[in-house]
Amino acid sequence: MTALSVAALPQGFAFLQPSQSASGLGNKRLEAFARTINLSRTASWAPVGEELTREAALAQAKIAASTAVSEQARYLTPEMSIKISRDLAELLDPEMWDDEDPVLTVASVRTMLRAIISVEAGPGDITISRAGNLVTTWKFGDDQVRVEAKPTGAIAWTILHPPGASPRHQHVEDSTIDGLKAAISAL
Amino acid sequence: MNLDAGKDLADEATIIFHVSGGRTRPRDRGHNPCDSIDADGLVCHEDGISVTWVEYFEQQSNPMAAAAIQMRGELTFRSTGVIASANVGELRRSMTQILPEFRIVYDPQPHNKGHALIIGVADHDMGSKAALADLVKTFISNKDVPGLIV
Repeated sequence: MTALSVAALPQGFAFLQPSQSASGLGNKRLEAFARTINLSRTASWAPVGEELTREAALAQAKIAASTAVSEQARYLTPEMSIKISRDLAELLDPEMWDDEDPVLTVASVRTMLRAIISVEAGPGDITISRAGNLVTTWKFGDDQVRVEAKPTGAIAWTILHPPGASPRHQHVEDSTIDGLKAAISAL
Repeated sequence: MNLDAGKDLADEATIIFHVSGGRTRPRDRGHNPCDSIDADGLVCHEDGISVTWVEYFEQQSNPMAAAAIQMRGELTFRSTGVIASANVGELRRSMTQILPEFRIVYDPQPHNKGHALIIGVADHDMGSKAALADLVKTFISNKDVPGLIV
């Protein structure tokens, strides 16, 4: 089995080349926080037949999600980047997953990052939908906005207005990020 | 407590259902166990949303724990999940304003004699699911329910 080293950072994971070590990267924060692990020693990483174990699939998704955040980091404040990475890492803990749930689709993370950057509302509280898509919830005054990011790049958004409002809620299943922005602007 | 199958639960009744940790909010630490749940924490089957009626187990020393264990059955509940509970009357009063067909009825099953159903909320109706999820404010961590995590 191929050995794969990663640096475990407080905000997620980073791949290391075989010749690299945390200290070799010359990054003080990395040196301070990194801890290299050899995934070939992790029993749960081993494929079972053609399929990965749930734990291995979630570990892969965690690394891929962290990479997606890194790719967009220049558009995010450091605080947002760290919060999103930390929340994703926690969310992708196997303890968070029901057995029948699909693993997070990393393409939905990319869609969500585009939405977060575009709406400029911060990462919100993130959860996972039963389709395996990333969901975030924002509060705008008394209104609650739930956004499910789809791997296709589409957005399903739901706005819940406070009790007594009419209508109580609005929902669009296949929206664009611009459509979401327009709906939020109208609040 | 006895009630015929298909009858509406009383306003005073309490229902519980399970929500996995991935559908609880917020992700920030320090909240025990969560403040709210996502709309997708409500699983709508063809016949309705499965819940468990706590008072059915009122003869037990810990009715909530007995109801949760009966609800779990052979499933695996993880330590990060929560048992969400709500008052039937509060749900009924709020939800019938947006869904006149909303009902919570007793629906005993061989594996769970306290089983009940929330009827009238379609799985694709994310707005109504969000409204219903927003009404649920009481949560107990799975790990704090005696005998639930095995």
